[in-house]
Amino acid sequence: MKTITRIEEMILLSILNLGDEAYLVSIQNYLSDISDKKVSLTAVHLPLSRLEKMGYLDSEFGEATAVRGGRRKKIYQVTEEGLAALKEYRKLSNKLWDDYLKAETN
Amino acid sequence: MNAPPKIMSNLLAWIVDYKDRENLTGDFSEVFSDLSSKSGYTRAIVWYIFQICKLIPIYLIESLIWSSAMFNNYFKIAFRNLIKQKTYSLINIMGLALGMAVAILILLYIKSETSYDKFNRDADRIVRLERQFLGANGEVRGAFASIAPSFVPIIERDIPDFENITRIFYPNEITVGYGNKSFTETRFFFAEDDIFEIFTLPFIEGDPKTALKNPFTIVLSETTSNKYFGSQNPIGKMFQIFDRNYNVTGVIKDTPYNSHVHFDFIASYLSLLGINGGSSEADDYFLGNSNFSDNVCHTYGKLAKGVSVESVQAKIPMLLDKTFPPRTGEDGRVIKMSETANIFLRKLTDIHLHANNPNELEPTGNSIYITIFTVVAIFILLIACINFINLSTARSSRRAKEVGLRKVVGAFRRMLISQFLGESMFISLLSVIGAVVLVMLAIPYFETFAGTQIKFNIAEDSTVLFILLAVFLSAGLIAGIYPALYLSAYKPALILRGEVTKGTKGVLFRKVLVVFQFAISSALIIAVAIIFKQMNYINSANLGFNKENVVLLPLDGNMKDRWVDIKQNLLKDTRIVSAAISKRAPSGRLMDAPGFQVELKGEILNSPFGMPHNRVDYDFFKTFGMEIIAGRDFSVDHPTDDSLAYVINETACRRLGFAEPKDAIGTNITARRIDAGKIIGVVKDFHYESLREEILPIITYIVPGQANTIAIRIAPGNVKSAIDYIKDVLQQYEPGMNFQYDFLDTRLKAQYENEIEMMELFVYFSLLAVAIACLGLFGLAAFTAEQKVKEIGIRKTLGASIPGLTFLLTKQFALWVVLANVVAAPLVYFAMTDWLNGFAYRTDITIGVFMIGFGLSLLIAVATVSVQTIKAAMANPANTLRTE
Repeated sequence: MKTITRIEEMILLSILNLGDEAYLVSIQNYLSDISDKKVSLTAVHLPLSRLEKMGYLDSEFGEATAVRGGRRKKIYQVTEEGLAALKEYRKLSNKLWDDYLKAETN
Repeated sequence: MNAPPKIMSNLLAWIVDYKDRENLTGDFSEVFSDLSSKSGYTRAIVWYIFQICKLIPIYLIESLIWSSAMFNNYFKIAFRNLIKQKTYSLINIMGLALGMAVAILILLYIKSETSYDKFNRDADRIVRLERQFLGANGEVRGAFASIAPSFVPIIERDIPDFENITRIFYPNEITVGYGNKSFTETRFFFAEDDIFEIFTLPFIEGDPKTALKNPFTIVLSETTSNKYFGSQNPIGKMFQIFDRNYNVTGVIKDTPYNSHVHFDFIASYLSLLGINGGSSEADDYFLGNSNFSDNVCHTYGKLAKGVSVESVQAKIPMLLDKTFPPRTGEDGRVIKMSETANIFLRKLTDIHLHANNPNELEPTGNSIYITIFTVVAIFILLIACINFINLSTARSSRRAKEVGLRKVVGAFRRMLISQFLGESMFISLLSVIGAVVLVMLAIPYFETFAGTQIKFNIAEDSTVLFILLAVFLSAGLIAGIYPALYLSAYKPALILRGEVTKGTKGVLFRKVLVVFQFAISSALIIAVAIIFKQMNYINSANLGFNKENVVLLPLDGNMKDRWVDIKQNLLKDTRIVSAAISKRAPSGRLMDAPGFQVELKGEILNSPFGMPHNRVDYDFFKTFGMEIIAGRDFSVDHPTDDSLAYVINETACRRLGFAEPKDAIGTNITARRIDAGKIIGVVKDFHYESLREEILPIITYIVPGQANTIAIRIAPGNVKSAIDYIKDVLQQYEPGMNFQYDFLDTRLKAQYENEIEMMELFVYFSLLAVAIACLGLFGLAAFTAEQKVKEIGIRKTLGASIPGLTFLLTKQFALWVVLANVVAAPLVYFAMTDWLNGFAYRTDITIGVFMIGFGLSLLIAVATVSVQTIKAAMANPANTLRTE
């Protein structure tokens, strides 16, 4: 299983949190809101396509709205493998934190 | 809610990856709309553009990776197709190469023709002053490339806009003596020293400021200097001209080929002071203030910076009216000078293509040629492109499977279009290479033919490269775009199921194109037929005189004085029928019309119409074989004939209002003489000028002093020995003379040099057009025969005959040619009527020429096609049907 990066983790989590409404713009907005700084579309799009290629993301076309010039959204869902990779990342991250905190308290 | 501009969203859609095209453009629109409502539309636009810019590098890298992979494949396929279908490839490449070669040659020719005189510094500020005579409605009735010398001082006085003005006197021919030899020089000019301020004539030796300051100084061109002095320094050497010594003060570089005038000798204008023996009258002629009538000086001026030609032109009428008093017309109306005369300022760079005055220094070009050339070039290139279009669409079924398969494995239409366009570009490239070779072979012929120099140097001349590129791209595109669209539109499912469209689609389009090709070809053939007919008409037209067996020679000073003696001597021999001297011989222009006075019904009229003067000596009419229809010819037996007698032509007789020629006899008339004379005879109308011009009223009288041409009628048969005899006689009077002669009929032919050139041009061009069109037809016929191979086999087994089958296959091609002629006929009719209208005397366009065009094009087409059809019809059905 391929390890993911920090930004990929953030995006996978955003998708999980957004539920059925996870597409490029909503992910960007969500990330910008919680991090208090502007995240660019490309910064989101590139990891998205990478994740999709790795099989961590599934996509389907959603509805088209007038504001999108009549073009459909691409809605993302996290796959089983995606979830597993996310958990793997969490485990690794926790392990690193644990080791650090242990050293701190000693 | 705001949407990004359509063009920008399309651009974005184009550069993003096709898989994400829909959702990404949607996402960008959403953000755009959001941003524009929050921060304003402008801000949103800026953001959108920024996004596009960010995406471009990714797009470029992606497409490069893919296209390089595909390019190898495309190239391989293109090359294989080229090799597999040798005949068709050859037809395509040969046709295109021929068409391109013509197009390139013509573009080079146009480049050369439009470059005339532009090498001069400040060429846009240099003008030539031309005398114009205006008609009643202000139209130009006559014009010269020159003005009378006395206009220059008044222009310099009253119009301050000229920086420099130079008068140039061109004596046509002059005898230049060096040492004990003499030569006739034809590029000898007298010019004021400002000439070097106006024309860019770089000095090799001498100083342009002082070279022509003094009388009897002379500047040579480099070639002339080498001719006379070899490697010696020419400065200070002496020439003898009109018994005066001229001192060489400078050497200039040779005038470039693309100059409207070429100088071999430039003598100082002041030398003209003494040219007629130094009389004050002669001085006044060139340098005084009263010679406004003889337009002998080609005059050039350079305008000050920032002054427009139009603004100076506008000052001319005022100047004329100020200088010349108005006169009263016959009806008592006051006529201002500016109503009848003008000095036209012609831009230097317009002279070569647009000026066509009777006394141009050198023959000028013709802008009509450029138009004709361009149209023909475009047509020929089109015909070649059409070959390509037709052959590739007709044979498209061969590529159908490939198209289907490519589409199935994921090729987009866009990719197929670029593949096929690329193929046509490839063929276009091969053709350009072929065309370059052809052009290099053709240039020497074309140069002698078009009378110009063409530089073809790809490495040094960027315009040549540009021309090649333009021809390559336009031919590749025109030829390739339709087949590319057509081939890429195939539906893969249909193709792969076996429903191959057997090239039946687009048949109509193909037919239209073939008809168009042949319409052009037969139009050219018909045009050639009409030009031939007109030239034939000119050659056989009754000119009013006998043009055979007349020898023309220049008359030099010494011979003029002893002409009576010479004439007697010549006539001693039976080979000489008659001899006369005159100012001009028929075949030139007849421009001098200094006016006349005539007494009609007791009233004296002053030049009621323009009538050119023809100054001759005894026996003029007899020598040229002109017929006196009333009264009598000039005769030595009437002592007053050399001062008081006039002969007019029929047209003049009619214009003067006489019903019968004999009524005019005895009328009092005077032309440029003091004593009142009488009309003694009327001569039958003859064509003094070319058949382009109407016959003018002409008044003829005896002034041997002004003659400069000898005309001698010799007995038919012994031409060679007669000329030897003339030479012997003349050399008794002028030992060491340069014996030059011309035949009248050769000189008459020279009047139509332009038409003859155009005729040849058309013959070549139509040959080419027809050849290229035939190439295409040949290919199409081969294709049809191949397609119908089974049909023919079956018909044959059922008993069809070979002639019957040939007819069946040839029929449709013949039909196309018929249709093409129907299209071509009216177009040619209008174009050629226009051309014929340039002749006052012309043949008419008969049905015959159209029949010739029709017959020839049909014959050529059928002959081309029948090679293929007969072969197909003769094939053994056992062979063709075996595989089924």
